[in-house]
Amino acid sequence: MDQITSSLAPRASAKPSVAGAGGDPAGSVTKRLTSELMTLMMSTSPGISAFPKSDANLFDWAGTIEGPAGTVYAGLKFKISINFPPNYPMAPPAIKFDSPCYHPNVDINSGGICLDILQDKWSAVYSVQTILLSLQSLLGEPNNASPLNPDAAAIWDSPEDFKTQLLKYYRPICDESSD
Amino acid sequence: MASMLDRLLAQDISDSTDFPDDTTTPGLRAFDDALRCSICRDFYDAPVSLNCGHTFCSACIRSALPEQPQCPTCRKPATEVHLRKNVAMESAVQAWQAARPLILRYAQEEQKRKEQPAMLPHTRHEPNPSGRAGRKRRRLDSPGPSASSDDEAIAIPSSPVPSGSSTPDISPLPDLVACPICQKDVPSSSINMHIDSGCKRYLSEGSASGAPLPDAAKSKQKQQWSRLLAGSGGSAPSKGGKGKGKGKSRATPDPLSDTDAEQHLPKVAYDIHPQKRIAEMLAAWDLPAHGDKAALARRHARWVVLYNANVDRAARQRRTLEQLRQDLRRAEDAEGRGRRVVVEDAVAYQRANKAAFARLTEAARPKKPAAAKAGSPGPDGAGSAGAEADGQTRDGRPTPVPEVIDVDEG
Repeated sequence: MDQITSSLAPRASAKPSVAGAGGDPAGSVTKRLTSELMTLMMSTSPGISAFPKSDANLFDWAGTIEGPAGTVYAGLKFKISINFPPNYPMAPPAIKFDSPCYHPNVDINSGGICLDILQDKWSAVYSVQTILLSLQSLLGEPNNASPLNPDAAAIWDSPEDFKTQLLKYYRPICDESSD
Repeated sequence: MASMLDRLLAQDISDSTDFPDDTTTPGLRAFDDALRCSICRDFYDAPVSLNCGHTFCSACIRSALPEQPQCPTCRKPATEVHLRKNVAMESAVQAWQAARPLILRYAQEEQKRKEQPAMLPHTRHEPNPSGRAGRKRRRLDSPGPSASSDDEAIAIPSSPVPSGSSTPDISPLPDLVACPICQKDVPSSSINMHIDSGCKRYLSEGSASGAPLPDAAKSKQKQQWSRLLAGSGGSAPSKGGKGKGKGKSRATPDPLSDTDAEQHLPKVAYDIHPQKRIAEMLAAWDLPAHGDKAALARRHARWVVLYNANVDRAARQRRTLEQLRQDLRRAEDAEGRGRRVVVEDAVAYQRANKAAFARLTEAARPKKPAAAKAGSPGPDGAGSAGAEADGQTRDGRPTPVPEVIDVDEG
């Protein structure tokens, strides 16, 4: 996991010069996912990262999100899994929290997320990067009107209690080093 | 993980971050980005615009609209009838793709120079590399070696090739267009600069003297111009060619205009047709008819998208029906491959990922040992995925855990 995070660091001229159109044996989905991976690695969005889980399958990614500064989630890190459908990007990827995340719009048991852009408000121009950024901001600004975790929504207004509950469930993710 | 990275980098997928940032080469990265479809992230292929002005590849937006009838970028309601060809964008993309390798090389040289301020003195006095790039490209673009005899026209300055430049492998741009003002032939990529220079510069080498061109080439240019000027004139470019106030009015019909009149295929409501009828529709285009009804419908819908996107290409960019069939086949293959985990050397893969397997096994065991055993797909997962996985892969979503455990045990 350290490796994934470090891949966010800007790489000076890490990329070889690429010539225009090579042969494209891969499908357009693979191509798009590869391009997104490139963008994620080359950009310097703070606190988010994602990478394919295994060498063999580009459709299954793992990512991390750091809690935004100035929120109760500041300094906490969450692991998520991203599963792309074969018709991506026409359909949204399936995303869930792998680390327990106490949040009004996250199911504490399954890790399921209630976020409109991951369901009916999905658009083909969204990308992993925009999703991770949206999730990051969702951490600090939950939609308490339609909670997946009603308990969390109920105590959102008292940050002290919320933080206590949050930390009760929180598990640091650094114990898995082999990924 | 590292090998994945290597493989990806070796795939030659270009993106705008190939270029240095704005401090080194202002605007280049944004320019490269502006010529890319925000759905597929590649350069526009048969670009089409919606009412809101947002542009996408024809195939991309035709695949996206059935899912959601709105512009993917701004969510304004949209349907396929709103799509209009964006021919200006198409020529811009073509020109940029031809110019890009060279520009990229100069951009990277520029970056290197900025990174190392202590260089040999003579390199500092070299002219601006972007200017050199422009001149060089024109030289490469010009079709013939014949020199210009026109006095007022500053044709190609015969500047020495920059030292140490291996001539890049750029295919010359074949598309010359006649300038609407001076009637001379100009590479279409430079036409705007040519007009801006008061018709004095950026002429193509071979034709500056006004030597008469063969009819076919001339009418082709006329057609190109009519297309550029007609803007969204979707279906009948031959009509746009007349009355554009050209000096000589040539009535020669362009041979390409016949094929250009191709119509988009209508969309089919597959639910109301029996499987046999859909198979007939596929057979009419010489397409395979294996699979269940859903597979047939998917294949035909994909064919309609590919076909209609092909109609949106400029006539000389169009692919043949046989090429389209290959595209369809490739797309179907790729979709199958995406679902399936291809492991070429099972033993090596197993060894390399032993730790991960062990961890996954540990993670899975206490929860549902029975399910893991029952769910394991037998010999499938142990390396023969390529041969057997065809049937199961399309709809089913094999969770990685049982499969991986299977590899671990076998």
